[in-house]
Amino acid sequence: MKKIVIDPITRLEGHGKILIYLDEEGKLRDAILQVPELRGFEAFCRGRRAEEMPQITERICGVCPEAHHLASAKALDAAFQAEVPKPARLQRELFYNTYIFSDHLLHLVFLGGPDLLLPDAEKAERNILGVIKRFPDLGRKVVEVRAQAQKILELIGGKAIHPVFALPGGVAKPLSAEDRGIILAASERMVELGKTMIAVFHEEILPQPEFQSLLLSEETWLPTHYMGLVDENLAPNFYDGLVRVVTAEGAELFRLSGPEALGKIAERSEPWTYVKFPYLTDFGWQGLRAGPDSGIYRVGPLARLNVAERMATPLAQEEYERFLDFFGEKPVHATFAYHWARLIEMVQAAETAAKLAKEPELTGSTVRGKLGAPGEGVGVIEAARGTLFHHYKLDPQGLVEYANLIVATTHNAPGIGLSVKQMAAAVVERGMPDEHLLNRVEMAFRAYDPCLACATHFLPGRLPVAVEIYDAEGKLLRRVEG
Amino acid sequence: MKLAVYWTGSCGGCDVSFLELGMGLLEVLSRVEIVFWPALVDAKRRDLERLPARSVDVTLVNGVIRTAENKEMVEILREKSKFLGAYGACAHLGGIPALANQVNGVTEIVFGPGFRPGAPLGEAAEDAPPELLPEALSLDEVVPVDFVVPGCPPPAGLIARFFEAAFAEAISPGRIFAGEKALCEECPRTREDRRLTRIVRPHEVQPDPEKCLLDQGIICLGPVTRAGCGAACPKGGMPCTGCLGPTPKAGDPALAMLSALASLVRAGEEGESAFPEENKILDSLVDPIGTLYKYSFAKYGRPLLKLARKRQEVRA
Repeated sequence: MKKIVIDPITRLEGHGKILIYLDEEGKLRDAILQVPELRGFEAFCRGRRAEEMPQITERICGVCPEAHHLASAKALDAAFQAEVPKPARLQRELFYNTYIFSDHLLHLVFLGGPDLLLPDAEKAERNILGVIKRFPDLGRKVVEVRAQAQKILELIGGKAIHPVFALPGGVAKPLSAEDRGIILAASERMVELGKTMIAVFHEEILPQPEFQSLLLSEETWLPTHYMGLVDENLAPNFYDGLVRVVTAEGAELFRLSGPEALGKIAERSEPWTYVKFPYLTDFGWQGLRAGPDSGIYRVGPLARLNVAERMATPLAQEEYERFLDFFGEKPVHATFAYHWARLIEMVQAAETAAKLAKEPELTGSTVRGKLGAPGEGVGVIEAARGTLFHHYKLDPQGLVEYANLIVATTHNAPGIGLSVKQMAAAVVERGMPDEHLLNRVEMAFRAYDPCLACATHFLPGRLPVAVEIYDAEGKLLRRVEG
Repeated sequence: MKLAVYWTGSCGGCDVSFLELGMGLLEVLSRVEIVFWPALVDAKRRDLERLPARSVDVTLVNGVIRTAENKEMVEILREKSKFLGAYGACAHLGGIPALANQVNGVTEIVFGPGFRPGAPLGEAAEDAPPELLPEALSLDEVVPVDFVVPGCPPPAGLIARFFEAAFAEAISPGRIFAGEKALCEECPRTREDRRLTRIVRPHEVQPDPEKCLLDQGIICLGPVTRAGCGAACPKGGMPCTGCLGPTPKAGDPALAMLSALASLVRAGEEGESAFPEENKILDSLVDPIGTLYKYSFAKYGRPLLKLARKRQEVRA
């Protein structure tokens, strides 16, 4: 019996460790992605001031603080029954689309990108420094435009990382005409970089045989249901909309408001683990496995493209059509298509930001809506990594009595665990894996751009995987539980 | 310069903060050799363990010390490093996750009574996730810390100041890369009243954009917090919540701020007859721990916790 340990897993947000267990013959016995961290946010959110929640919960994750900041503000809008005035809403949406652009860019270049842009690089080179060395002009441009995007976040948010501007019913202050000018110019650069990144993807990444096999090989397919927010035209919307779920076979299961959709998700506790697994109540819990009759669903860029019927902006739509042509069917179950979907979304976010920056009412002075008595509220938003719910109950003083969050990487925890196991099995099949092959196991989780800091804000120590062995008739022969 | 960056109980914001250097980041990257940085490069724990002692020039640790593994890792990093710094509010003061120290038994609340981390079924005990420490700790309670780059996350200006000193090999021991004076010194808002006639919460009022927030009744920690961020939050229409840590003069930020508030509060004529009304104003400060120790509860909250436990014991 042998064990392979990858510690720590790298180029992601948060801590993780992969344990691969082999049997006597060297075949995969089990593989788990263990998350050895816990900070216990839900234990100390109780008793805090409601208006502090956008600032406290964003410390769950410093890579997507914007998502927690605004999901929290939206939960508070609902809890105070407040109508957000248009200028405040425009500020939030412009800020939010800029964040999606920035966060996706970070993954495409700094975190997941090195695997794709430098497929043959040695371990020491397989990182952002290697990317800058191999693609110096692109590297420079990315750093420059990302800094401009961060400037937008800072002008609206007060700070780019851990913003402070969102409050129940609105935002802290009106935006000046001068700031709008800076934002407008920056947003146009974002669209330009989006175009460049599409070209880079088609020239440097997509043609690689290794990437094609990652996209098309059944070893990396995971048929699950998908969840994401859509607007009234069924295009993805990151800030607002209805939660749409499409089944593994491509049919709409439901399209509901945040609080209603939350009612369609249950969490499963297994006696052998501390993790709760979200699943769709329409299917019930069918075990930790993929497939059309399982309750397991995925979120994030690929999921959003699978639940949408079109993109909201022209350049993104063009690329979306190329994406659909490539796969020839929907939903796309190829886990490595997350990267391509991320690129398409990055372009939509840039185009949307550029459009919002021109809205006349963006600089309007009414930025606070009237607040009612504090009560209960749900806020839902699409974080870069997927659907994010914040649910609060406030006491009459406006202090937090109850807070529950379902974060993107938690929705994806079953999918991530299954993809890691799939890849571990494929890699082990080829004999004792070397460093390069083991990195492929890490590439399986990197496709999701997981945020383990988010997933463990209060969830327990590990994302478990159970290995189930079936016979040809699909009868369960053996179950090894992690 | 050989550089290591590590996160303990962290949100990742400190790792991302380096990108805020913008084009300056390329310059920094061209001048350092990254020997360990899980967010960016693929070096593993074993690679780190193989390094000779004191072979890393500078190590930056961000995050609160929350688990036994966090402690182990920073002990290894301390041994391998010439200079080791606390980077960001969590490593510096405990940060927001240290508010968990206010509650007993985090794991019990999270997982239910009797929770123990364990290995996967049938596997060796060493495969269990690490134990949580009884309290969230700031970095300097676990290993000696040579310097601090404060903030949540550290602002670009202070990061740049740190790298300048590091490249010049001029990190003086104990240095905190932020101002010694209060944030108010760099705040563009004008202070006039110097009295507190009411306490309002940020969502209850849209403050005047020019006037001091404290003058408008919003609890702003500017007077007790180090300068260094250009008063980013007050400029954004929101109060300072103290992420750069207290000034040397302030010491415990909550005590310093309470004492400031007590001397600023005014209800009618000065004197004893106004005390009941003034007390009412001060009582409207809800969640004082979360407000005044937002980032510093690990570092400064312990006496308070001891007191609370003693009271409980006396009552029992």
